[in-house]
Amino acid sequence: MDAVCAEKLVHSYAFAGSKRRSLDGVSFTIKQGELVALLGHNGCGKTTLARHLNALLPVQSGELTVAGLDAKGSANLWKIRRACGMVFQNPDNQFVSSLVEEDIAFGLRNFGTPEKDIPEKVRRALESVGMGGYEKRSPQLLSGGQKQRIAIAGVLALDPDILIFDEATSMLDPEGRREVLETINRLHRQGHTILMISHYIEEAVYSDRVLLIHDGRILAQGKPREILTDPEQLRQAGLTPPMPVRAYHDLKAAGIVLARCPLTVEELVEELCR
Amino acid sequence: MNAVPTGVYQPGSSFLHRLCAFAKLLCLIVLLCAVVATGSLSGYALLLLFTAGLLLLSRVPLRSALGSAWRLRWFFLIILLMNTCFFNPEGAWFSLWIFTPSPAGLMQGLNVVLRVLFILVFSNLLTLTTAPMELTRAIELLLSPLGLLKIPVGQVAMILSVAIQFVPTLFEETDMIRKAQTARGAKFDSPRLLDKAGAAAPLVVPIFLAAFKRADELALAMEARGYRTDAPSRPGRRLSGTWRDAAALVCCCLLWAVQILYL
Repeated sequence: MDAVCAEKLVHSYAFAGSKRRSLDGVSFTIKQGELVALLGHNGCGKTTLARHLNALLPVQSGELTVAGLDAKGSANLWKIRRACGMVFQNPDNQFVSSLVEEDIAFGLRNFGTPEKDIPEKVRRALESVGMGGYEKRSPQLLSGGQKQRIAIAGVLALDPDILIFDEATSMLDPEGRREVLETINRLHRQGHTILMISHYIEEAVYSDRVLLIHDGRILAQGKPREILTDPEQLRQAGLTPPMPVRAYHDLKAAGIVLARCPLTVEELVEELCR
Repeated sequence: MNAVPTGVYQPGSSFLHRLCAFAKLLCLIVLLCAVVATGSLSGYALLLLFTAGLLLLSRVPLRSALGSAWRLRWFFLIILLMNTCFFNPEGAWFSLWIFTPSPAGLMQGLNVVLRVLFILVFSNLLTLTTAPMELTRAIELLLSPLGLLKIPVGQVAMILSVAIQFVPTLFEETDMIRKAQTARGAKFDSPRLLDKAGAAAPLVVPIFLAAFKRADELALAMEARGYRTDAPSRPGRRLSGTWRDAAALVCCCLLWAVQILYL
């Protein structure tokens, strides 16, 4: 069974008369255990799409199944929100308590977890993001990367089927971004299904599959090696290829042809030293 | 981001920390009554002793317990002076132009300032020693009779709790916006009152906008984590009283009684 299956999703925000479609017939699937990167420039519909998966926006037209639950109508609303955890962009605006353990327990209490199980679940969630022992701390006094990892723990505590990161790294410093990306990769290795939304193309390199979205449509999808090495297509989506890919094409233009197009800096170095 | 914000919960295991949140909330209400009932210097001395005892029991750093009171020091001073000078022209020490400082005025000023001060410190102690969500539960429980009037008690309690959480964040943001506007030529530090008033608008508007944006995002994050306003009753941690809670409440009631009957 696919974790997510979307079929011709259409959505438009009704702003003062304008009927521009922010999603215009989007179809895709996410398999169990897959790490999918959703790339696109600002205002292309990434966030709108993500909010559908968590039933924060209702399906206007098309079909959407999340973790085997039909997202149409409001019958499965709360089941979907439990099955699909979401981490947002601004780490400061996600906390309901100035105590880490209470914040993580917030979701658990909302879904009626028995009180005696909560401390154990909180402890395990914190450990799985490498923040064990922070139960009694205040999120406000932590670094951006740590705040975001606490937010991830708050979502993980609910044992969701799918994790969505909605530009979760975009407000962090490089150190914080590295921490969060490492956490995402570790969760992926542990078998979690993850959708990572970003406009940092470098973050998509380690995903299993890339979805390229532009003006509410899926422009292309495939392995990072196929999508990220196509400068034309990326430019069409308003994105710049990763640095090693740019280097490859610049070298090619200058008459130096490498054996393969590198995706990471390590690969680029390898190719150059060959 | 380095300073510990005042009034925000500080984890600990002192006597005050271990009291049940609901008992602490009831104690606060009784203490407020006691403060209002106080009207003499010996009464305030007793309150002061009581407060010192509470501070010792809570083992929170003095800085965070008294920080917000200290921040309002000029406000308190002005209130005190105004009451002293204008309250009662009869029996004044002397009269100079419109100023007529009198002993009665001084007492009135002290009354106002000390009452606000004690109330501030007591409520600070409550938020410092009570975990936010427990406080939310306690408020919910306290307001629960209003539920009969179809008032959404759970939501009101949640709003109060989240509002308390975000006070330090908004303070920080104010500071940041102030710096940003200063960099762009706003005259916050100008001694001219007109400049000061003119500088308020570029400060207030962005603060409100940012606060609304925050509220919006937080609401979305809460909803994504399964918060629902139509939920039956969420089973939170049981608020169960012990002999300690009873003892604390009795102490506060005694203080109130003493203030009314003897001082």
